[in-house]
Amino acid sequence: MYSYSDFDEAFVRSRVAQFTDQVARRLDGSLSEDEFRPLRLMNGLYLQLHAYMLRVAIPYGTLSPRQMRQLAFIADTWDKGYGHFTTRQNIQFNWPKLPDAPAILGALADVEMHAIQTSGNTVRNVTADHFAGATADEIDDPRPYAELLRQWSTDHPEFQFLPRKFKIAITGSPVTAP
Amino acid sequence: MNRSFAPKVVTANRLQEGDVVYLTADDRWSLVHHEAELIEDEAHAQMRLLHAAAQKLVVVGAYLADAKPGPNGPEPTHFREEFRTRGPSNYHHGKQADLTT
Repeated sequence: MYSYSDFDEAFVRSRVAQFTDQVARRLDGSLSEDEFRPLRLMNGLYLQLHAYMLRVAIPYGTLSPRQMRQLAFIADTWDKGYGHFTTRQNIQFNWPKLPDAPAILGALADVEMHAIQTSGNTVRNVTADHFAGATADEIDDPRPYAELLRQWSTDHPEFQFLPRKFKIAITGSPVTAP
Repeated sequence: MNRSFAPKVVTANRLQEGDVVYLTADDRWSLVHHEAELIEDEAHAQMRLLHAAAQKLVVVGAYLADAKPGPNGPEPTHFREEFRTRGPSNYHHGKQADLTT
């Protein structure tokens, strides 16, 4: 399983610090909602019909036990004790509060996770066959390729403002997984 | 009452929690649609919307939603607004659960 490099760690931590400051400025009125909306969406925080929603990427659907426990900790601490896994290998917390969002992103960073590029017209979370590494007919394990794509597309300046969102999925099996 | 104007309530989401709220006649933000001020005059509706939109540190995205009088207070007329009074429709959670506990 991929482990963050020093660069990855510094990048994610710097985004948490940046967003912490942006939330503080929204809450004290320095930023208007129009100014703040694109900033929160770049960090995966939507305001939906009933509440805020934070979408967290799970690159190629791979979670360690430590990461899974941290997602549960986040759900228990800052949400209602649950989250929803999505078909594109994200997890969505449906009841976070805006002032808690920086702490949640900090907790995600503690286990090498983030919510960057889970919203907006950019390259979204790179997904892989959920049977990757376990299927008999697999030509190759898709996860290293997915990791390369994740690194290439994360914060890539050419792909932050695409005409529409762009989603990549990789499989090493010729047969579509059921 | 202007017959061509459908009655309205002012609604928004709370900035900090994201909760759906309604502006009451005594200038509170209530979680309960029935407590909203039912506005039957178009000019007054615009004034109330301006009043709501100015509260930038309290609510987000204030707008006027169609409503009708009911036995307990205003009721929504559009299914989207009905959803907003209760919370998600997939099962019993959100506002509908919170308000009964």
